[in-house]
Amino acid sequence: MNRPELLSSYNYRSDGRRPTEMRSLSLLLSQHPQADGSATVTHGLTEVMVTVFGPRESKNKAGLAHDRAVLSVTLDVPVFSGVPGGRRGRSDKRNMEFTSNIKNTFEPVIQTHLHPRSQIDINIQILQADGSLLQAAVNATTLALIDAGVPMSDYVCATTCALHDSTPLLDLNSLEENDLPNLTVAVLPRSNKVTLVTLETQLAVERFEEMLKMAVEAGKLVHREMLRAVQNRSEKLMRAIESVGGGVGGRPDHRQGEERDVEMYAGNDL
Amino acid sequence: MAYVSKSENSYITTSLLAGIRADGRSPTDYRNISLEIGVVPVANGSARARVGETEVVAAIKLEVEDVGEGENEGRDGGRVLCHVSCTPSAYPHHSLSALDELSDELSSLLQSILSHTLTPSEQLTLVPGKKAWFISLDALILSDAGNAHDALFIAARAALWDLRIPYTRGIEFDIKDGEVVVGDSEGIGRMIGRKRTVDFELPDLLDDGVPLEGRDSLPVCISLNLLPPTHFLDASLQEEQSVLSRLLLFFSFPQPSPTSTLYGTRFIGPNELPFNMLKPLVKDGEKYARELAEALNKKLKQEESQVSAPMSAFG
Repeated sequence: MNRPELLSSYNYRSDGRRPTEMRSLSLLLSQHPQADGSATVTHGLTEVMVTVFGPRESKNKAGLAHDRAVLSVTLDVPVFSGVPGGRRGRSDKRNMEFTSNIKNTFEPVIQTHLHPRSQIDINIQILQADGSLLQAAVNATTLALIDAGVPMSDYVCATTCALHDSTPLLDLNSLEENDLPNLTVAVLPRSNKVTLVTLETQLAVERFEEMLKMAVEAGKLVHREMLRAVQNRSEKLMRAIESVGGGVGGRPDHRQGEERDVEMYAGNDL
Repeated sequence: MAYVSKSENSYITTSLLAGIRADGRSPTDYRNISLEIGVVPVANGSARARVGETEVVAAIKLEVEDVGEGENEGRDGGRVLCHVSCTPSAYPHHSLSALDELSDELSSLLQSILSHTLTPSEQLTLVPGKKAWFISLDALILSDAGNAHDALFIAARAALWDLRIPYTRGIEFDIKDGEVVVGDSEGIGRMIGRKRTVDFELPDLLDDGVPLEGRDSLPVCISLNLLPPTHFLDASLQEEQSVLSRLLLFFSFPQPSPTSTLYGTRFIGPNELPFNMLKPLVKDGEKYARELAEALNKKLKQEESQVSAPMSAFG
């Protein structure tokens, strides 16, 4: 079989999307029963669950900082997830790179100085992989941290962007990720800053700006969906508190948003 | 996560002796068990099981192996490798090395029980003496709120239920008067006279394969939490920490016959178990295991009729 065409002459991608169309996105909060905060983020067939514990006392006294909280990130990639390369140990180089990327992305955003001498554990669990793993992990980590109530200065919204000839493509699946020069960008949408840009392949400099702009724009779209997910979650909590606080006056006005979990799709063209 | 103090411990154990549990269950009740199959589309079989708040995901990848003598080579009749990983999200207070230890312990338990029941099997042989299937089963314990053993086996069992082994067709070479004729053999890897299956091919069928033979008699695990003179099932996290002795029993119920097979037992805990207690415990365990196995089979059949259609979209 020939290599699949990544962008057809009719401007459709291998999975039928338009160049700037993102895959279906679902954001679920507080799925994990024990964690302080957790989130499951799905971009198409890529699914990542992140749990957050802390800020809490550190197990490892050596790595402690006396003036701020430290982040400890672990990554687990099961064999069935579809990541090539077989079983990975904890000290695998690819894992280390991934976790240090996450750590460096979130360290400037989390208000670590508010929790001196403590540790925040971020556990990333890949459930399925079909490209754009870092993007999914960053988005899930943001939501899990918010769910845990860890103070942050802004949301961190990540997107991937690749270049096919001269057309930028958003939100890559594994086919596109393997064949095209691509970058992952993590945006702080409110303060209009960027905390992470990774690019591992070569790229014409003139194209870089366009791609970055596109990725930042897409990050803002992800931010809107995240806001909605967090808002739904908070409303659900509010309703739960009200219902415990005694049935005075009832709560008839909150009926509309009563669906159980937050799930939404952002498939529209930008 | 809860650490149980001395007074909490005595509170929990005295009420358990009177048959009362914090969540209102009777000593032989399970928490709600929920089961989903086909949760990982990229795997050949997968399932997610929840027992109360304990959650386990299991998934299977199939590979074709060359049959050989070595450690990492295939066997006639197939080979199974189980790996359990205890995630840091399930055990937030464990160090990473303690997690590895726990994972290894559970992996070897699952491996020893499942490799006996699944192999050798004719269904897992592709070409006798040459190629065989390799089943790699991975389980993730995503959260542990007590009774991880039972949940792990429920998930593994459901993933094996969901497993589809692709159709294969043997290719034979027939030597007639020095002329080589290539043909198909009926069935998998059969030798007829001078004909001999030497390789296999995958027929181009839209259907995704055949389920595992005998999947309705795969073993279940029952953990009896021992609090002499009684025992109880499906301990919650706090109960698990106050009652440390556990007897794990692995039963399988071959379908048409009313008999049962005990595949293994394992005793966990600091206390000893009087010998004469063992027989009644195994007998009770069989009763619970039969109920559990029947309930699971029923649920899996129902689940399967719901999810079978949409997967063909991926070709």
